[in-house]
Amino acid sequence: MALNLFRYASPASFYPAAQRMARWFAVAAAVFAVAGLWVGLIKAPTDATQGDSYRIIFIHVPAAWMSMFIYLVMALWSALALGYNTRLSSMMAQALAPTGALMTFVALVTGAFWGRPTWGTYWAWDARMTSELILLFLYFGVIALRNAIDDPRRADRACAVLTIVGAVNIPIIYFSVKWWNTLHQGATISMTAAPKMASIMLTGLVLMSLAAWAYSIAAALARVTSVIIERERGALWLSQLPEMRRSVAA
Amino acid sequence: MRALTPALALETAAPATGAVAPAFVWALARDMRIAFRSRAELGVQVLFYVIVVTLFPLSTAPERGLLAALGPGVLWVAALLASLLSLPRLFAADFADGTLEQMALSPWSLPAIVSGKIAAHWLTSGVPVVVLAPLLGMQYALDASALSTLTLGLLLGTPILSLLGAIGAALTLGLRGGGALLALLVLPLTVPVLIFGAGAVDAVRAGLGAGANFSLLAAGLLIALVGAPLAAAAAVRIALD
Amino acid sequence: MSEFFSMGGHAYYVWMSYGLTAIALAVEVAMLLARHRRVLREARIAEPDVSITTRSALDPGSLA
Repeated sequence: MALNLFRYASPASFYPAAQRMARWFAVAAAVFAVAGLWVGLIKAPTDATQGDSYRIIFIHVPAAWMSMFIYLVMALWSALALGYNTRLSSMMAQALAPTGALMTFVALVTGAFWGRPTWGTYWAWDARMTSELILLFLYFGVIALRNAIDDPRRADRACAVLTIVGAVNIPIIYFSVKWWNTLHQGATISMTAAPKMASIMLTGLVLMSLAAWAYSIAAALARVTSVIIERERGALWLSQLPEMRRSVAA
Repeated sequence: MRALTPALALETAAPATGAVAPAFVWALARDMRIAFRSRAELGVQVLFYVIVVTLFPLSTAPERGLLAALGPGVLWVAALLASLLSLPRLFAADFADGTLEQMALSPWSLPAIVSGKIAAHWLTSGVPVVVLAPLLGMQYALDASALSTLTLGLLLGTPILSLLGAIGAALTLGLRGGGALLALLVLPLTVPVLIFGAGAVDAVRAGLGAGANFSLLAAGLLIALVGAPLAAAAAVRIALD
Repeated sequence: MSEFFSMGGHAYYVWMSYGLTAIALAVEVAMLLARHRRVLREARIAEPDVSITTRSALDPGSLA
């Protein structure tokens, strides 16, 4: 039996599925987060070199991973939107951007707070942090472009093009900055020095990564339900939703 | 009087569907002609570049060592700003009077037409930057090898700035907040160019040679030459729909 | 317990990181919920339009 995925390409069919999935992933995120925080803050021992400040890694690394992963997924949805011309693909890309920007911001801030006690400075222009900063600008650009264009169709396609161009650029940025810093080895501080990790720390990292991943999916799906209602306003299926029948509570 | 629109041009030339060379040459010649009609505007943009570069040593009055260290970075950033300043006029005028739509509808390849426009943009904003760089770089106590590395880097990099900038200009056609939004979109894309360009001078000063930096800039230029007109043409069509 | 809070002297950095992250996530969730409520409220006001599936984005009568 072939699973007819294209049935879900209609915002009307996807909406209830998105709602359900968002709730499940939110629960999963909470469970993973509690487990990960327990391991990371309590069970994992103090690091010999860095002391307790290394515990920031349990937020910093998952956030950084998600920031890049979300952008790639956004680019994928954008490619689908340009290729298949489906509204929902653009809506998913639209819903992912703010969460991606948030993850990037968290990665940058926690990176700064980790850098200060460890290497003596809040900021260093090393490959990873500079690439993260540029990634934040890329997210801001996509969000700003979407807000600047009134016509939703033009906004969808313009943001799709911009996202894809940016996606091509991300590896280039990373390698160019990394390579630039290799030339100036003495002047820069490397934040990539990750010594072999005790397995308990690795467990904490994996748990927090799962939490970040589940959270991002939940947030994006929750946002896409709002986006669907915004953009499909006036549609018959929307007026027949149960939450529409309820009296205005908010 | 405006230059021939593609519709008129097609009646006189043999229509070659999807042809690249005639479209490129036509667009380049047309944009150069239009640019030279407002020579004052071109002059102002070059002057802007000169002023920005001169402003740093004038206003900060730092010692020579610091100036020499800052110089390449300042010159590259100023080159980027000069490019950004003139990008809106790449498509805006044609968009406003409907010529851009004619270009999109014509059987000529839109990426080729866009390439011609980008080439004209580079010739009017990028080339002056490259030509003036050695002169302006002397204010930063840069020696001959540093100046030549800087200039060569700018020669490779300014076309990339025009190419990437064109994508941003096409995406933001007719939008409010245009100039600032354009800068926000283009900035993250052009960071590698600045890094390798300024890095080339640093490499030469460190005795490492700029070969690798230039190779990467050249590779970037090739990729941009192929990809940017396609992306910009797609963005133009999106803006026109 | 105090060892937990002092984080080996790095309390400021660790708790600022965790704290700011928690605040950022809380803000995002709050904004999501507020957006959902607002959007539902506005959608209730709109009249259902049976032709919406055939409507093009260029329709000047579009509600958006």
